[in-house]
Amino acid sequence: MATFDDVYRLHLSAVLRTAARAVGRRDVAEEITADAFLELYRQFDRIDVERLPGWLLTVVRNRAIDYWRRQQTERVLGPAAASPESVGPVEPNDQDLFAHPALKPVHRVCLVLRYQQGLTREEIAMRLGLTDTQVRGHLQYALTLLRKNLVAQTG
Amino acid sequence: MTSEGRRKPTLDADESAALQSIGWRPAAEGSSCPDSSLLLPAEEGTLDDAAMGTRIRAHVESCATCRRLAADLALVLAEEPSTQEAGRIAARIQAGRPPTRRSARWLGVAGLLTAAAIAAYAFVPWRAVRTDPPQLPGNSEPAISPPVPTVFLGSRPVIARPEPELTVRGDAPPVPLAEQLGQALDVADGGDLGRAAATLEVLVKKNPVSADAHLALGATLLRAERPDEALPLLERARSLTKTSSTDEVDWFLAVALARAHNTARASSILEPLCAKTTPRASTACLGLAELKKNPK
Repeated sequence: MATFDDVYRLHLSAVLRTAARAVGRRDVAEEITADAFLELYRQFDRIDVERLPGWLLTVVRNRAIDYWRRQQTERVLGPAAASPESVGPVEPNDQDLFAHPALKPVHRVCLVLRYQQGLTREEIAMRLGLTDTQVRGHLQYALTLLRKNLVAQTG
Repeated sequence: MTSEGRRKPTLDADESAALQSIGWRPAAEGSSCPDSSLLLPAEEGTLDDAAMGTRIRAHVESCATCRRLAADLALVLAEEPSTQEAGRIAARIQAGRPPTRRSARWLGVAGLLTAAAIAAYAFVPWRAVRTDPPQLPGNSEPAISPPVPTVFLGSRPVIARPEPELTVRGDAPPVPLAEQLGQALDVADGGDLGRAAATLEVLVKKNPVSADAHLALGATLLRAERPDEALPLLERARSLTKTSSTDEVDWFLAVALARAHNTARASSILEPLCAKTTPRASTACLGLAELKKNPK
C-alpha cells in the first residue's frame, strides 16, 4: 500500500507544474502545491490512491481559482491601478529584438518581463522559480548574444 | 492581481548601455501586453473574471509577442522543481501538519529525499564540466543553474533531466542517513566541496553497504575534479545497487570514466543505457555520440 511519502514523491512535479500553469507564476504555485499535499495528508485515510493524481490536480485547480478570486477582489477594492489585462499597441521593435532564434525560452521570458513589462530581477526570479543570480545571468547572456548578432549583421 | 507587470523598467547603467547597443527603446507607456502571469491562466480558464479571460485570449491571438511569451512561459514554468523549491514545499507541508500523526514523520523524509535527490542530480558532474549557457566573450559569469542543465561530455552539449530517486538501503537506519546525506549535499551545493566530501567519506565508512552514500561521495568527488578517486566509489555504488534500475549510477560512472579518459569502458556503459526508454536514455545517447566523435 502506498504511503503518503510515496505519493508525495511520485506526484510533486506534476502538481507543481499544473499549479504553475493555473496561476502563471512559480512562487504562488509553490504555496498551492503545499496546500494540496497538506489537504491530501489530512484526508489520506479516506482517499483512494487510485484516484491520484486527479484528486490532487482538482484541489490545485480549485486553489488557483480561489487565488484569482482573491486577486480580483483586491483589485476591485484596492487603490486605483492600471488594469493588468488592458492592452495597447504592440511594439514591433521589441518583437524583432527579442525573437532571436538563438535565444532559449527562458532568455526570451526574462527579457520580456524585465524590459517590456518592467519587472525587477527579484520579481522575475520569484515568478519563474529561479534565483536572482540565474535571472541576472540569463539577461546578461541574452543581451550579449543580441549584441553579437547585431554586430555580425552590420558587418 | 497587480499591475506590477506593466511598469516602465528602471534600468541600471550597465543595462542601459547594453540595451542601447542593440537599439532597444523603451515603450512610451510601458508594455502593451497583459501582465505575463495572466497569459497561461487565461488559457487554462482559471481566472475568476471570465470576461477578462476572453479579452486576454483575444489579445494573445492577435499579438505575436504575447503568443511567443505564452509559449515560452509554458516551457519555463513546466520545469522540474528545483532543490530549493522542493525544500520549501516540504517545509510548508511540515509546518501545516498536525504533530501527532504517525505517518507525519515520513513527510520530512520524503521532502528531504526529494530535495536531496534533485540536488544530487543538479550538482553532479555536468555542472562541473560546464553549465548552460556557454560563455560569450565579454559576458560575465552567468552562474546559471537551470533545472534542466546542459551537459557537456567532452565538448558537445547533452541534456540531463533530473529524476528524483534516492533510496536508502543498507544496515544504517534510513532516516538518519538520509538526513546526513541531504545535509552533505546541501554543503556541496553551497560550494564547499571539500567539506561535503569529508562528511560523505565518514558516512561511507559508517554505511559500507549503502549505494546512495557511495554515489553521493563519488558524485561530489567528480564535481571536485577528482574523477580517479570517484571511480572506485561509483563502481562500488553500482555493485551495491539492488533496485531494478542502475541507470543513474551507470550515468555517473560513465561520466567519471570519460573524464578519466577510459572512453572504451564509458561507451560500453552508455550503449545499453542509450538503448533504453528511460529518461536517462537520451542523455546517454548524446554522450555516446560525443564520445565516438571525440574519443579523447
